[in-house]
Amino acid sequence: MPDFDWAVMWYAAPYMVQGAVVTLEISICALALGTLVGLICGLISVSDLTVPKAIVRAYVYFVRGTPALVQIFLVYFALPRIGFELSAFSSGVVALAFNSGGFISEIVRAGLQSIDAGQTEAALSIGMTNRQTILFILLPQSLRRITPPLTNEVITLVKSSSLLSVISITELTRSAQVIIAERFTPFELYAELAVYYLVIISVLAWFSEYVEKKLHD
Amino acid sequence: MLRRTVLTGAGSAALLGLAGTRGARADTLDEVKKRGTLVVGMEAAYVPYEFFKDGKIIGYDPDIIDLFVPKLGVKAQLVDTAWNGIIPALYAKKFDVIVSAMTITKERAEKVLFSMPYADASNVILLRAGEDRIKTADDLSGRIVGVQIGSAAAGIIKTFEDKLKSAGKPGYSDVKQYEHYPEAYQDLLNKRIDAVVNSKSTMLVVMKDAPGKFKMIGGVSDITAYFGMAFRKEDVAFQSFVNEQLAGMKKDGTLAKLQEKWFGSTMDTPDAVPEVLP
Repeated sequence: MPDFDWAVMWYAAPYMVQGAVVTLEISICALALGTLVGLICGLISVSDLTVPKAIVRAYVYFVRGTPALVQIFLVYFALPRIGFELSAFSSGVVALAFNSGGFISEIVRAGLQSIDAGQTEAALSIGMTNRQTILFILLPQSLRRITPPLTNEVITLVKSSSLLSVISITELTRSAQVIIAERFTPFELYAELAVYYLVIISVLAWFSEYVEKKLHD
Repeated sequence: MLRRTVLTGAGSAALLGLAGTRGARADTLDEVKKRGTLVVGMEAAYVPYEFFKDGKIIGYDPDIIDLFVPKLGVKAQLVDTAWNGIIPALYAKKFDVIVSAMTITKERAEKVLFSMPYADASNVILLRAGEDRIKTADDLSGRIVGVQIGSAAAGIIKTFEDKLKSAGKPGYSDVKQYEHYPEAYQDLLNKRIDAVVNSKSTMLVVMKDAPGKFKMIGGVSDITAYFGMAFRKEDVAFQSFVNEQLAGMKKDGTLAKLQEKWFGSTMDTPDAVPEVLP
């Protein structure tokens, strides 16, 4: 096919903005849910609760050991078979949150364990319980160390949301594919798509840098 | 696993194809003869036209291909490819021709050269057997409709929605675009969507394979649609060769026999691409 078709890029822009909104909606919901899951699981992994700890380990093992795409298909196609009828949007949120929750749990665990042992000893010596030490001493201090890997995870999550295009969610990637299928212009639209993602992710990276700086002050 | 081998095969075939096109702008037909294989692009998830069974692609389309490739003195290689982007892939020379139950539409006819019609592609609406809110096509207003991305049905339901709206009715509440049709049927059963629009011949097989689960209604398009094979615009010689073959098969009843085999009934198709296209 001949030259670069600029017109189709203009034509696609409004549709892709709609898609970008869906991508952001899903990413924000999944991030909120995933962070909650990850935080709870991370705290459990450094606690002394044997059974929950084993469950969290199994969960992280599964998330790390299987592709995100497979997890998405499992949530989308397997859950209805056992009686959970989720909409495509909710399935997408659940699948992404499930995936990022596992990774965030590891980030939180590593952050907590990286704080000097002296802090724990001091907290325990003034009579704080194990739980209090983790929540009030270790967690606040680890926040700054957690921010950079957490940013990475957020970026991964936004990019993984493109996988949801295969379960009929018209997010950013799908919105481009719909027009590619209609106009037969893959080069133009995938290039445009890359720009959309770059913009979204640049904003995220900039925001994270800002948070990191705030935590330093 | 088997799908993987087919795909790797496709990769090497594509490389061969590219190597072949390096020199002078050879005609595809000559190139195919020199190479000894005709590389055919299709999305093998469309019963009964092309689908995987026991690791092999079978169906109405492969049967037709098998009938005409010996006349070229070559073997056919079927490449399973994504439907979305199948036309750009044809121009990227990933294969020589698309034989993949492709409906002849106005938009596609601008991009590719179509063979004469070789099957009826009229679209119908598939519903859950227990569906009682949708009695006619007009009741799709306010419902969630599923189609395959880039399919002719995707265009047809758009036109139909415009018709609904100009009659003062609301459009669909949502349109879900799937990678493959089987996922749409699954979602129809899982109640994520209310209707799927696809060609009648395929729906008949879907209903046969899942007895009692679905029902079918018509009325989504007034234009009769047909399937054609798609060539690159410049491959006029190749197209006329295939047209001769198809006309021959139609005349001697071979085509009708294949239709009987795969659809359980025969179809009426015109001898040339019709004037009015969906």
